[in-house]
Amino acid sequence: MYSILWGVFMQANLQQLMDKGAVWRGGEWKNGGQNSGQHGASQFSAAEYASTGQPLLDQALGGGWRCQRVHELQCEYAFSGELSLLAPAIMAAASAARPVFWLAPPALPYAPAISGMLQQADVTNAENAQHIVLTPASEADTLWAAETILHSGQVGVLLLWADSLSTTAVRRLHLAAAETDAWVFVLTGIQNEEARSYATRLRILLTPDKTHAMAASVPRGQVQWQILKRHGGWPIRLPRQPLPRWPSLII
Amino acid sequence: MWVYVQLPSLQLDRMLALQPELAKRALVLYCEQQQQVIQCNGIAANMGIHPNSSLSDAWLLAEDLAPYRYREAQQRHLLQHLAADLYQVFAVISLDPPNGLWLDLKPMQKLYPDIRQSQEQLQLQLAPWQVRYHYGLGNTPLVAKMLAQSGVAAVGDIPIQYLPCDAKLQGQLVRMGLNTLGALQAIPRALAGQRLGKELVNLLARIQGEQHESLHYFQPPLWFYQRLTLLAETSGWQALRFPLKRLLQELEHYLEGRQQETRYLLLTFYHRDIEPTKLEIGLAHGGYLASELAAFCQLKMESLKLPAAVLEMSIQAKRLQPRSKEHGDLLHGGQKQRKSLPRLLNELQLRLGYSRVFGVQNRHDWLPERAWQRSAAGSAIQATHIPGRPLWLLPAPKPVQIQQWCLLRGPERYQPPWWQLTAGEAPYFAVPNAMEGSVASQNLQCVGHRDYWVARNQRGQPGWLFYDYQQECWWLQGWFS
Repeated sequence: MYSILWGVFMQANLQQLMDKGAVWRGGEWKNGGQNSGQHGASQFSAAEYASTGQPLLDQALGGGWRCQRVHELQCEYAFSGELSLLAPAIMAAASAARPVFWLAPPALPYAPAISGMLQQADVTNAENAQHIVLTPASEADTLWAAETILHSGQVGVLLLWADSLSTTAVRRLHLAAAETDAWVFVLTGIQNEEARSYATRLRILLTPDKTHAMAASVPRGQVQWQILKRHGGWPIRLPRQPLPRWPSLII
Repeated sequence: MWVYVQLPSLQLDRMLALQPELAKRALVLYCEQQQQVIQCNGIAANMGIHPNSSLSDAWLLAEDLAPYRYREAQQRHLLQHLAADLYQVFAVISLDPPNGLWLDLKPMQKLYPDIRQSQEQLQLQLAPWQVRYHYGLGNTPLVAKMLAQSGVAAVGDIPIQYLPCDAKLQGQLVRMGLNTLGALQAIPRALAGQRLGKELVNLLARIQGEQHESLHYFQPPLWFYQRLTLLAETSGWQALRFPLKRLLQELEHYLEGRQQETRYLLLTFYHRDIEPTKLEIGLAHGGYLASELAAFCQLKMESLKLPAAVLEMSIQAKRLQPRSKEHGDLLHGGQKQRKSLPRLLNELQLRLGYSRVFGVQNRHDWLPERAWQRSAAGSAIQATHIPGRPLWLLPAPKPVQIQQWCLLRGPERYQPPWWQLTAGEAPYFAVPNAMEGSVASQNLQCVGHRDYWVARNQRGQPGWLFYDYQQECWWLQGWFS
């Protein structure tokens, strides 16, 4: 009798915790991340997740990138397929007619490729897609701009390139992002594993595939995703995958 | 019907409105050359100071006198500004500097059939200005002016000294015992002409409305200007924020009345001996709210240092344009947007620099460097017709060693059309010289000829290479991943 009562009591408490999304359940993991929203954490609809475009990564992240959170992508080398993981989020911003901000990008985002991707994906609102590039002179300006943009609420996706961010800077970004509906991504080089308030920390390692090389000196690109931190799960290292490419019209 | 609005202390009243702290002291505006009081406030008047009394008398009468210089140019500006405000209600305005203006009520008769309605409108329009004024209503401009100045009720009772003529004629009239306009008008016109000359006949004809008055009609100015004297010298931005806020509120009132917005603000800070400091604020998207503009000014002020203490400041707003409609979505996503996108972009551009915030746009050109262009931030990206382009374009192509790359797909040949080559655009097609010192075969036949390839480097990253025929070497221009 006592145990049943206690069990009911526990159930209510647990339900509360699960509603907050504070408890990770093994069952969800098995069912696949996409369904995680259907029981317990019912306030999170699927619309709040943007897929990464990679089923394996989606599953590991419990459905993809969560909006209102700051995600970190550590790239061993720039241009190793990191942006293609964010393409679905960019498409979602375009169909919601909200701008995408590129803060201090390493090169110029090429307009034909961006609109090519939107046309290929047949995004409903492609004619309203706004891409705004900012090239601030200093990192202090970059962070100020990021916060200003997030506080305004006029943002769909914020992409921020930085060498390394301090704990306070990440914390401030986290607080600003929590007030918006935006996806916020910080793209950096390899960082140490010091605690930061990112929702997700993903390390992208470029591991050339020497076995299937056409020529041993010029191997096919392969990436390995190492998740240092994720919502509802332990750190994990995913199997190697071919280097993802920006989804665009192919000749 | 004509109305003459007499503003005896316009400049002083505006000073009081912008700086209410001054109201507790006897305040006078004096003319610097003649050391004469031009305008004074109520406290000063109670102490016996009048316009035209000398400044030394004023100092004797009032111990804590607050004297400020009278500025003719500013008075003119203020009158213009006031007229611009009245222009919203009255179509025909004529300025009578320095202290008055005429309004013609006839064109407004359809809108305000009753004269009392016109008067109400006038009072309503002048109320926010917080200025003292008298007005007179007459059949001709001269009568209206004399009534406003003299303050009497009937035309016949107007004292003769308000007649706009020289002192000699006035003396003659007084000696004849004609003390009011009524008495003068009672004399037959021909007789008065014989005795006092043609000038008086002309004047009487103008008063009666028999002769047409030539007035310059007012056209509203295309910009806003306001100048403010600070109470105390200030050298910090913090202290300037409050006077600035008042100026911006004036601007908002001005723009609100016209349903306009501004795209250019010029703040000028005047120092004692050195050149004034100027602060220009160009806005990519118009703004009109005082709080919004104050935030923009603050962003700009932070990066500027004042060389000396500030005595006065002025604000000028140009590039006024009709307000753009804001597209709000009533149904979804309204409540999370705390700031409009144009305002956000303005702020970003002011702080980071105009050229550091831009949008990207497609362009109809086959040359990769020219297939995109910078566009105004916030414009939507158009559809493209060029497939298979990389996501990243390097700002300038980088020379590469082709041995380290594996060509995957290509070539895609690019050849500049002859008309562009001859039109002097050749520099666009030339890449920076790869090997300094060595003279590459300057084959002019091949200027700008390129073969584009998709290739993979040693780490497996797909890049976009081209072979330049003129310099005979390989360049990296973009990344696909």
